[in-house]
Amino acid sequence: MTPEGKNRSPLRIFELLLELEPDQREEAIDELCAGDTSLRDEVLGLIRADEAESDSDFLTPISGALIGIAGHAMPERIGPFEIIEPIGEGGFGVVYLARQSDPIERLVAVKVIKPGMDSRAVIKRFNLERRALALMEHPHVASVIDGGVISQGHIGAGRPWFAMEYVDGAPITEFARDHGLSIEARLHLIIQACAAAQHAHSKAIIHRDLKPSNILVTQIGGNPFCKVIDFGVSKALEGATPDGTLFTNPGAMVGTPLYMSPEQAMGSHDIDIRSDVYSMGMVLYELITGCPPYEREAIKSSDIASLRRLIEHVDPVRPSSRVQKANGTEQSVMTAPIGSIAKSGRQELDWITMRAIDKDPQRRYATIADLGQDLERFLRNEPVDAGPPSRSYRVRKFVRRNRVPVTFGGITAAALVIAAGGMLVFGLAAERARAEEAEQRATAERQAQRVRDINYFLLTDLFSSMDSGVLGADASLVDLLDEVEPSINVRFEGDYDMLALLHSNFATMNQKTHRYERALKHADQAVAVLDRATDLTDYQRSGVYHTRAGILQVSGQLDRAERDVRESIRLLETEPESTRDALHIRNATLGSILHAKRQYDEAEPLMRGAIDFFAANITDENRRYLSIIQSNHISLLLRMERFEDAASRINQLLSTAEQMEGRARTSAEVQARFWQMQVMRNLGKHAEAAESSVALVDAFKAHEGEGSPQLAVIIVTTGSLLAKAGRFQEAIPYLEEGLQRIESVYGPYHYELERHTNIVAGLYADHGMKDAYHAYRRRGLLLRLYVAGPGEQESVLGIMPEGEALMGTMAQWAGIVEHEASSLPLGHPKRARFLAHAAIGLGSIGQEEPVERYLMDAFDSLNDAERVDEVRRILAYAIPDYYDRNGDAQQASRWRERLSGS
Amino acid sequence: MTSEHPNEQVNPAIEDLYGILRAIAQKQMASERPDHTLEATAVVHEAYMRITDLNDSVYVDRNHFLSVAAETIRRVLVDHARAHNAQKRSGGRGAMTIHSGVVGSSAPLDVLELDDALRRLSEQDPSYTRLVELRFFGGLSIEEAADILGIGRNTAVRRWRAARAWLRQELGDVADEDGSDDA
Repeated sequence: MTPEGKNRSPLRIFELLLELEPDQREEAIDELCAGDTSLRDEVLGLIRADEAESDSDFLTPISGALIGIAGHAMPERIGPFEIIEPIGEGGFGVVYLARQSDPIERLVAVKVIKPGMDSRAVIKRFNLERRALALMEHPHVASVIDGGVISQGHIGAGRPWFAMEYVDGAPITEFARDHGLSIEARLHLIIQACAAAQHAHSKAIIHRDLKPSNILVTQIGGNPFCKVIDFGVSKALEGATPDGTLFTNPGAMVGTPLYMSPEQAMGSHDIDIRSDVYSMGMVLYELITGCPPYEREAIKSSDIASLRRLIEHVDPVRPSSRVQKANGTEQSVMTAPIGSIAKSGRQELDWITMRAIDKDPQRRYATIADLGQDLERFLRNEPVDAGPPSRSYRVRKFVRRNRVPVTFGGITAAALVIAAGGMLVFGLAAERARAEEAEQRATAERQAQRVRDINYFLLTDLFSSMDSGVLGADASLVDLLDEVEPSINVRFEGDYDMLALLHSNFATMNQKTHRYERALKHADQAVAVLDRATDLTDYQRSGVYHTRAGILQVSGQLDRAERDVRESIRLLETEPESTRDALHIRNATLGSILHAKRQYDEAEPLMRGAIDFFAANITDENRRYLSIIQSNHISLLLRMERFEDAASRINQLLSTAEQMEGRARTSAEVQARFWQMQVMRNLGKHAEAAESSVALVDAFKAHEGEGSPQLAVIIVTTGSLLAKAGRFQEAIPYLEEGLQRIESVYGPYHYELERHTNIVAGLYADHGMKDAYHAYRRRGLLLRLYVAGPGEQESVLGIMPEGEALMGTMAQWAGIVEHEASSLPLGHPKRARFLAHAAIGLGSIGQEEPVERYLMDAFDSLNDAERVDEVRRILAYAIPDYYDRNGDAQQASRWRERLSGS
Repeated sequence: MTSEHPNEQVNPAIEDLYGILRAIAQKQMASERPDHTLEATAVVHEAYMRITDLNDSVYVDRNHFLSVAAETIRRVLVDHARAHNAQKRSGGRGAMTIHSGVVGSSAPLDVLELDDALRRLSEQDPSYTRLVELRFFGGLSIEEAADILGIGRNTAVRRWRAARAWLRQELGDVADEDGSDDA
């Protein structure tokens, strides 16, 4: 990145100006534009445009999706402070910039804690800390000035607030990234933060919530200067959440758990300074690698139990293993800063970081000053205090260097059984290396033990579970494997090689059967024991990571997936040429992960490279891989709007398919036809798209069989494409047949049916077929009442005027709804949802007569409802709203209470 | 070995995405004509078709889907607007516009002009266009958009102001002084 180049853009300059005080701007413009008058004019133009539209709705999303600070009413004063403007919002509440005039005039930051916290407890705790906080005086500590509760009669009455020194800075990680700080500069900042924390610790104050957004960096005299904020705040907030822990639910939690120590995550009340050491270590980790040790995504999407597991048990990978190989056009965010230093240095930095974030407080630095001092030693090139994590690490290193031929005797039997499930296993590429005799003997012994274990596993665990009658005679292999799954940890206890491979295979099996959570659990276990496995080759290790990457990808944890697949690629670097195909498959996987991360330009060459490789080294076996990668590549090209490229790639996919046989061939052909249709569609060529789509229907029938849900959807789509292409008469049979199929595949109340019914109605309307339009539209509107979710209030409200327009009068439309309601039998899983939506809709247009009846009926039907939680949420809004509307506040609050719990 | 297969999976969560998309479209499409929801449905359908792949597990969560959806809705709207323009030339209705804010509070935008302006903005710096797509076409809040773009909230606010100012200039500042009178 060249900041100078970027700053020359008028937009960037404008952004920089916004960071300044208004009276400093004029001067800064001249400086930033450096005599370029046309640039200067552009910037001035932006400023004028910005001022002109500052309060208009220009470009704001319809229906006020603008939430956050703009939506809050702002208090004028809080305590002795005059509020100027909101400057931030976090999980705990809002932060305002405010002015203090007495005893001195200065800017302060006032944090107002959001409702839901027990404010008395917060203030009590804060007052306990107050004396200690007042004693703190350190250049890198932002001092806390005051705290209290907003008094009655003011906006936000009863909410606790804290005032502290205002720091106009950016979170340490953001600052480092935006300013492209060197690794040394980054470490200097952390050393400053350590000094701040050490000062607090010496006053018996533990921060408890150290994280990048609490370690702000400003520039003083052109040098980065760090200030740690929020001392005392999290202590005050802790225990104030409804059930008394920080760890309630991730949404309501104070702060982010990302940097929280395991003992804190466990809710221990025994938090000491080493908890801060841990959090600082986590920040250090992120600062030197460019990414947090655990991904935000993983944290956000996890439930509490797995979050805890993650924080308590899963060790992050060493920082240096995050170093990415330079990859042509790779973006700077992907390149870990730690990569800029020499290998030996990296290792030492690994040791320091890993020691700070050790799960066991006893093994961490005893004080945060120790951490700071070790970093200083590192910067002075002196030997650091931290050492490698454990002895086993060195042992493994030794074993890897002296790799022995590994043959898992007896493994073939297990392989046979497991391979039958199509999910196998040991690509035991014959290994080449010699070792000393003793090592060989040890290996031989291990092998012998392994044979015994495997036999036991097969004979006792696997086959006896078939015998025992636990499973029926026609149990599938999957049932069988499920049954023996728990025994593998026992049977192969201590044999980490086997455990890694078996868990990895169980992961794949569960993935193939769409049980992603279980799959991920196995994959995690497989990776977790890798460090202790001694005989596995890097090729096999690579496979274990690759397996997990695939599962993480479907589970939506893209950052973790990317990291795993990069690790699996790295592990292949030292492997022989014969593993090139595996390398390209991993590259393709990386490509599809990057596609998902919308880093299209990086993804595309990886996929193209893999395709070129397989095309040049084609065998019958890898032809299928080629077709899959080709298909993924085409999908990417479409996303990049490279339609011409996509079209020629589709032809290549078709010729790959020609060489294939059976299902794999039809599958590739279906893909190709589907992409052809998409290309045409995107290019607005409706006639061609319709042709492709007709061909697709036939291919799909051959491939998937008549009962396929996708076939049904594709048939309607074909109909609508034909209609668009001006072939409406031909379209009709497709539309009718498609809708029938959708109804029989998905059932009569499914959103796919709703969607397509409305589409078809629209097409009939466009072609002047009034009666057909009327019938489908009526059905489509009613169906929407069945499928709408809790977040679709607007959609439900919108249906009502449409229904009125369709039927002529509101009463007639209400009659249609009533008729539909009476046709639904008691106990029908859709009854509650339909009635709730009907009530909301009719109430909104003043048809109040049936509303209460519908709502009560819906509530009575709740137990039978499909997705009962969603329906409950709908009712939790609708019922109190009805009573409020009709002036019965007592009933409203009774229902609110009844429906608010779970 | 099992993991030697290239990725070929269907996202288990894809089912609920249509509801999300419909919610966006209903937010984004506004018109005084009574059949406007039909129009919105058509846009959604089209966008949905374009972003559901047979074998592609590219959507990982709501935010991610939204960002792809925002991009796609923009494209679909543009295609629709082109079709409208073609009709206009042969005597059909006028150029397709889209409202922002509360309907009526600011001048409707011509979809094609906005698209052109966004293209030019992209040439300057694509990160601004991404933000506008997420906010305007995807209906995301500043916080959500900042999250997706991996930038801080404050940066997002500044960037949003910059993009708006730029686009306002680019689209001609017509509605401000005299636009309110002849609404």
